[in-house]
Amino acid sequence: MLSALIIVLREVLEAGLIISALLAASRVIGGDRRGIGVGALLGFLGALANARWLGTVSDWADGIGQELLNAGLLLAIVALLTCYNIGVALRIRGRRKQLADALLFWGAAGAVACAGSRECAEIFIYASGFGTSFAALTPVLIGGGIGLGIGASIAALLYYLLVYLRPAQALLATCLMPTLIAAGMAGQAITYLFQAGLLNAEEPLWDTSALLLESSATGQLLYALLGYEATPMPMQITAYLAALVLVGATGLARLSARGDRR
Amino acid sequence: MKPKRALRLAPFAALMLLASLAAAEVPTFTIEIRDHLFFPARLTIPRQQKVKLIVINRDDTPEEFESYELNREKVIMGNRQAVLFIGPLAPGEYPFFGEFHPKTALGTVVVD
Repeated sequence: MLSALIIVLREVLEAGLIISALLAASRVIGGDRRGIGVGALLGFLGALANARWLGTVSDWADGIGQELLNAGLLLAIVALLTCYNIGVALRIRGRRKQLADALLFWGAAGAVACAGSRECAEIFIYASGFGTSFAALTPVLIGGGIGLGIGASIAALLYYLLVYLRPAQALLATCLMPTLIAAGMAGQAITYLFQAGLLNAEEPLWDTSALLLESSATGQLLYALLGYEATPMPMQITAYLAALVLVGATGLARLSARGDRR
Repeated sequence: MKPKRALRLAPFAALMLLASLAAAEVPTFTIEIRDHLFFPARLTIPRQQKVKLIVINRDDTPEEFESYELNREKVIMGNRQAVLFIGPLAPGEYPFFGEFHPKTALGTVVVD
């Protein structure tokens, strides 16, 4: 039961934080939320497909298909969040309305769909190991239900924290949160390339595991929120900073856009 | 083959080349999963060297090879095997576990 709780919580948290950041952003800019809903549906279907064919995908490219798929999905999320941020800036400026709407819709839908396909697949695969016996599935469902509840609560809490900020701060915070999540994902994508043997691993730049273990609850939350890694390698940090600059710069455009309007 | 099509295949060719270069002369070690246990549970690998790990899942149920210390996670479906690369690593002990059966599926990579 406990392992079901932890697995579901970890996965829900990662997808949930993106959804809550996007929901908060759409509320702050007065945009619609259909993109996020479409993304959640696509993500659910994507996760089912991913879980169903993961064995086949894993065998691709001499056994590194899973890593290529994960790295691809993570980098796609970074790109889609960048599109979303450009959409936010355009909308606030009131320019290129059609383009802004398309970027907001597909940026949100795509990012949520990719995150969902990745995270929820693991839950489905885990649950599939218990077959259809009621006795075996019950503790898994209870544990998973509690995990889902905790993950959704943390995401909801973050959402309300974001929307109850004063407008100027909310605009900054809804820029910051997806930026940090995206940066963490860019770093994670590099880890998959190390795992696949496509990049050669290096010496870690530092080791903060004595301060905060990645496996601890705080470590896991910070991992989902800002990509915390106790022993990061130079290439991971480079990818992290590159995504931080890319997504951050497009995100900050919304702030200067507010200045323009005055 | 038309030049245009060859050009389109170039990224894949480059990727395969990269993969084969990266995989060249890498020592390979095998771990098996049976009844939600790892065999061997302690695997010794050389220091400061990239290593290819083949994890064979002999169970019918899926497992996830996971390690915070090695920064690795990979799902292995039932009766399938997975390839992953670790290292180069400094001497020490790097625990790993099966996330789907964390009570029993425990192991350590020992680097000496």
